[in-house]
Amino acid sequence: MSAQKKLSTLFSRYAVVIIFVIITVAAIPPSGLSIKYILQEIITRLGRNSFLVLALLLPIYAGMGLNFGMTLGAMAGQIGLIFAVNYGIANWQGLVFALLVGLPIAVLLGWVCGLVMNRAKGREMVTGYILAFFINGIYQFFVMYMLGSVIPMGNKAIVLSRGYGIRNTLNLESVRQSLDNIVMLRVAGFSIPLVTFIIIALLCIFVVWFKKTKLGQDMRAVGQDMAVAESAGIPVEKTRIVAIIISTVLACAGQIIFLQNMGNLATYNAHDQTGFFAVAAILVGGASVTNASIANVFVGVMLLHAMFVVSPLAGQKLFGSAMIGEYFRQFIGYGVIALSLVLYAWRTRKAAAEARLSLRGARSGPAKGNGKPAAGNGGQA
Amino acid sequence: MFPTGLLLFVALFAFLMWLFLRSRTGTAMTAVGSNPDFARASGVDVDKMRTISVILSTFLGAVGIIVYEQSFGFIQLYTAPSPMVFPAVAAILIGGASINKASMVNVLVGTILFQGLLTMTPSVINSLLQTDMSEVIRIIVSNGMILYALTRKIKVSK
Repeated sequence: MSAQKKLSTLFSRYAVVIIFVIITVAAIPPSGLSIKYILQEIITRLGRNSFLVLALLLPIYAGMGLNFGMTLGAMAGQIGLIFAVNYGIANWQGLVFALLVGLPIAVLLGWVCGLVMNRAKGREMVTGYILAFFINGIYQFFVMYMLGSVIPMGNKAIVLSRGYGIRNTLNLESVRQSLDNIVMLRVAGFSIPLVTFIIIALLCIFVVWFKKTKLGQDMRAVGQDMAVAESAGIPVEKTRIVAIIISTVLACAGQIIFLQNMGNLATYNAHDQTGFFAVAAILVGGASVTNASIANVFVGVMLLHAMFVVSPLAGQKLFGSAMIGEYFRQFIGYGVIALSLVLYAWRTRKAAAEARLSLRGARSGPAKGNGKPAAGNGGQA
Repeated sequence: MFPTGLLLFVALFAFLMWLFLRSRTGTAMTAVGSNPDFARASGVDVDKMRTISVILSTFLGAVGIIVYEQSFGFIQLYTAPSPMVFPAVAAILIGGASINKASMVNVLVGTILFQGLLTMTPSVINSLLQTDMSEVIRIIVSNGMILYALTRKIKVSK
């Protein structure tokens, strides 16, 4: 491989990250924000979002691509929070209660998601995307019609005036930032939610440990090649389901952490963009459909959110309208996902073409490349 | 009240599409959909056919939204086009198409069935339960159809 080729491979591998860093850094001066403010925002948003993004890792290891189905877990977490508010359980106990309610729902939904994805091998991402919409319908049915009518709600303040169904926006005042505020470190003017970061660190340790277990190794093997894993005696379908269940459960906990930081819950559309922004974040961090690491998660969350903090004000200053920054945010989110998926498909095809060329040997291959004569394998092409 | 002009216009376009699918390009396109390797081996430019199909689809989408909005009488500039996709996909799937095979019959039967389902189910449920659940039913039915198509086992025919 020549140096130029190496460079172009490197660029195509990290194209998304490089483009993103350039845009974000260029947008900082016109936004007029101080570096300190941006750093504080990034710390807050790291605590808020990292857990959700970490939930994407295991399905990537298992070769199931970016798990857009994590939205299912987010819905389970929201149902847990609705019940926590309904029973008036405040502070971190409320969050634990929400998690306990959400957990069985998340396991069930994750199991369903795994079954559906096993029937759609090779199309897991789009299937997960549509499955999230489908379950969204059932979620809306549950929250809008079942809660308050079939399942009694004690707290009338959160029920719609017609007697059943939950209000559009739920105030989470009772559990607001209760996790962040258990220990709020103040270092050099920055506030750092210590407990949230400890939980995130524990999850990172869990992921690292999990990769070394038997199940984690099986997952890697399934992700490499399903047929080989199957013939090696690994229960492929079961392993894939387990990966999705863990991801869904983590997404459930992640959504609870996210919402306790935000402090209010848009009952019917808080989960709409959960999967979308988590996927955008991990891709911005340099992950691809088949490859991701914990570092990708943190780099991605920091970069994406630095962009989110900066873009509305940069839009205001440069174009005279904050809305342009808002549109820019949407545009960037979808743009990053589309760009990485296209680059991934392009790389896969290029790798396949190169593999074909190497089989064909030097005669028909690129002349400047490996000049070795095709020793006996020319006939295979 | 019978929207003659609208129906004639739709019929005209359905006929043109039907004709196109039987033309040289249309046949090549169908071949690419059924078996790309086979199509490439018989000398069809696979990438070109894929591009043409997407261009045509986008063009018909543009005509479609004009037809749709003229019958409503107003346009929503910002968000109207985005929720158009899923009902359309669900309709053609309910008509019996799969993700790599579809015909004009699938389109017409599917539209009638899907729209019938959407207009009738809510009124049945509303009279049973005294609630308006049309929106939720629309979400579940249309996405359920797409999900069904995605999880269907694709038969590989030689």
